[in-house]
Amino acid sequence: MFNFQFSIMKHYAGVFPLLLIASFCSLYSEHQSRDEYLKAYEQRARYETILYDTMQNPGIYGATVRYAENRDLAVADSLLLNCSQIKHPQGDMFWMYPVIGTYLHGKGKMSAAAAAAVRNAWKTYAPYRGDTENHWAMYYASLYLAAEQWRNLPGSEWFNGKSSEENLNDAKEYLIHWIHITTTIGQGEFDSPDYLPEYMNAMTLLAEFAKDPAMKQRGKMMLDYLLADFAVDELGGEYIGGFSRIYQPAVYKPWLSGASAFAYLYFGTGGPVQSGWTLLSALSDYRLPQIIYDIATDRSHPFVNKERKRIRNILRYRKEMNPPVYKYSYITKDYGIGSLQGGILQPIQQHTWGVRYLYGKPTSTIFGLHPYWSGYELAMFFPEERKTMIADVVSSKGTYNKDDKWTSSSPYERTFQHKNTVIVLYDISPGTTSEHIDGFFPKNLQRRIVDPSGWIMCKAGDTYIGWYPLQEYRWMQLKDDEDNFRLRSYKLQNGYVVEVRSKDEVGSFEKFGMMLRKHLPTAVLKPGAVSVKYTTLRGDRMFFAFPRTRMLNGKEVNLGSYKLFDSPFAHADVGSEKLTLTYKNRKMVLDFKKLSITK
Amino acid sequence: MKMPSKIFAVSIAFTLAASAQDTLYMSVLSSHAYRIGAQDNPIVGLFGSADGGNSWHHEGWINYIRVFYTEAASDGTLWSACGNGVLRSTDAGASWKITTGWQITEALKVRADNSDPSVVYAATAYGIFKTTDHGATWKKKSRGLPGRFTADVIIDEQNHAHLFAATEEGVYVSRDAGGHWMLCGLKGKGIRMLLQEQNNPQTLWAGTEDDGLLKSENDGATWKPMNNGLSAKTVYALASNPSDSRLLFAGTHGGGVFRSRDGGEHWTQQNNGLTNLVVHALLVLPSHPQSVFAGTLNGGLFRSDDEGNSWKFVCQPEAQVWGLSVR
Repeated sequence: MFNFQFSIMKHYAGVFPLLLIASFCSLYSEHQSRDEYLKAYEQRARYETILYDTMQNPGIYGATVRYAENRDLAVADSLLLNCSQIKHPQGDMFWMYPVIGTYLHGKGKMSAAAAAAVRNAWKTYAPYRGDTENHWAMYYASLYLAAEQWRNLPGSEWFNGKSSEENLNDAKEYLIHWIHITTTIGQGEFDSPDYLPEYMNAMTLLAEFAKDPAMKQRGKMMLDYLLADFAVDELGGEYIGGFSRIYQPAVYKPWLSGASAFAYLYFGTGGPVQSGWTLLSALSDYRLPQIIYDIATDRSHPFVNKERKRIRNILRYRKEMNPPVYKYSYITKDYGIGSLQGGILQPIQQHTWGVRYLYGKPTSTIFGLHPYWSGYELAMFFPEERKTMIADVVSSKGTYNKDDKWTSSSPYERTFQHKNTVIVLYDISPGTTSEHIDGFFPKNLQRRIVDPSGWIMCKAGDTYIGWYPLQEYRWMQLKDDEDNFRLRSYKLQNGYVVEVRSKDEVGSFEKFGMMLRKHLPTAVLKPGAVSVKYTTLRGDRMFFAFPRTRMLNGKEVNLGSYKLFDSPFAHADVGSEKLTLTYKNRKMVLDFKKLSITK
Repeated sequence: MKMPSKIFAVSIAFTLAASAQDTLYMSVLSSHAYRIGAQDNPIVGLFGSADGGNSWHHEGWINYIRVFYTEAASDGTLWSACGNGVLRSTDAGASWKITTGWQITEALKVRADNSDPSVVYAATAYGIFKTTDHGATWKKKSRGLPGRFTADVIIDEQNHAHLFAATEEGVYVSRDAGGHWMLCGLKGKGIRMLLQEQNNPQTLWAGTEDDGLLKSENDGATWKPMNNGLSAKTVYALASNPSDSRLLFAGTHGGGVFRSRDGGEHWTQQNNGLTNLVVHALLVLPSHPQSVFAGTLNGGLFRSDDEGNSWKFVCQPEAQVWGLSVR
């Protein structure tokens, strides 16, 4: 949180700023056979690597590509020896993984001087371990691989004073621990469009280069796991929310997130994206199992995907260190709508719910939030002093204490989703930060009608979105929002109902509007008593009382029954260490207890 | 880790005679002066001074490590409580080792047992940990604590098996060297720091998140507020004058430094020249007790040579001086 290096290295992939969106066409690839898929994959992988042949100053990844392809080795040596990572190391774990990745691709090919420079850097540059899960994945995966390479060295030869064996054991223990909790109670930094790349790079290197067959298998299986987790929540190259962490403006320009580069590389979805994030993946021998590709790309039938994740480590104010997060998504071929249950699930960058659709990229989303910040929230997750932490966070994540921010958790926000209907309620304490709620509506919507019934009716290509505000509001257009529309309501007891349908589901936009007019919510909006009754367009009766009473057709919805994965494509029980993927008559089981992949 | 030869020194224009015995340690957590991508970012981490605070040298881990607090043990070993865990140096900071594994991180305080320097306690965001073999191995010692977060732990100088812990739910005590903990007092209060008076070890002080200072004169059995004149109620630091235990200094959030000349019965604000009023660390120079150092969050290090009547900036502008200690 506080290491300002991280934020720049986050965006610069530890290498250099590079995110090219070559085209917005081809949002979906045709469904492919294995041979077709592999052929297309090789083309996409080549597309990711070829850039480093033409760049004037490709940096360390210019060396990585040349070593991996066993060509221009003198050039590779020169690029490595003169890159910033070797000459002026900084960036901590964002430094570690490209450096060890490059070394491993170049091992046996690079000059003695280049190899010595890398080894010396691991002795003299002391990376910080970081304070979030993606930091630790990169730190320990890189440290593990380095310790495997340079065995039997004393602590004086390592940046942290530990011997090779101590580093190897420490890193191994952490990685096994992380995989265990991820496959038993869920990932903490889950479904993050901006942090998927960090995990992918860490696991890719383990899968590619770990000498220990068990660790190599763990890396491969976690790649499958991460990409399967993405595949069941993916549409058109983008993650469907909610998310643990996402940056602005990617939260309203989904295409900008690093996950889109991986969607393109592995699923062929979205448009071509060249990104430093995917280089190590593109160079690796890992190939996506066909079943995960099929799951990611078959949107012929709408489906519900339910997942259970966990809150990142809570240090204080709560007894339980990792309470559960419940995620619900509904995905069709045109749109996806998803939500977390609400509340403080992550500090700073939480995205609690949202609609994303194929039309109008890159600004292809509608969502809402209560912009909240507090020292209490931060002190739950970070060890510094509660009363100074806001200023510390703002120095690196400048929107944190802004009324107009677009990412936030809030203790005053809860959701209830059933299929393509989401109800969001707020019971905001007076005097808290930001006494208002906001909704994001893109300026590129084809229609944005405020109907006399109270419904706001939006058309985004073949996707129709209805938003029923429970309190009065006004529209704003701020320059900082790039002139998109902001719905703002200053009522503290508040909420809205959102219905999403596609042309395929309901026919014309006008018909959608007529349906909405017949379905009006009734709400009670008093402090401490905020509730809404609503019958969906499908005829399902929803009753939601803030914060946790959720009734569907008269029966209470038990979020506690959520599994790690529960959808037509993925199934995993809490505590199981096993993920079962199914597609038509095929099945794949990732069993982390046995370290086996069964197809 | 062997430190690079680059040494950073901060010379300041004080001419006080300093005792050779006093070695001061300043733990600089981070700096708001850090600029993304800049090559001339300020060096943070551990700084030491062997001349009574006249000059400071970077002593520790050269790269970013998030040092919260550093203490020198009776055998000369330096122990640093850091984001990465507990670091140890046995050669006066020339080289360092992270002695803890991945489970022990976000260490906030580290305390070495004066009677047995192989015994060290670490208060961390994940509980209290203890080594009895000079950092070779660590064990969790949190049984009975109300939660994970522990801001401070102190060793009773009368009985080294007695420990006190600052938690988010009050002061906790262990009578068996960390084996078990039980509530000592101040139930429900967030405790930021603890201090045992050197000359009167029955007397304990607790600085709190919202309730100012509290004092116990019976080894923690009962506590009473000591906030007369203490207008800022978040107390991060407390220092007593070694030659006059009635002379106390309190470091607060937003109120700067408060001084008491009557053992905490009355406090007066003493901020002349102190340009940052979030004071997280305080130190009275043992060899020259008129001199007091104040570490601020995001304002660097300040010094007073007149018992707090006036302050001058010393070094580390915009830095978070999280901890000060002396051996």
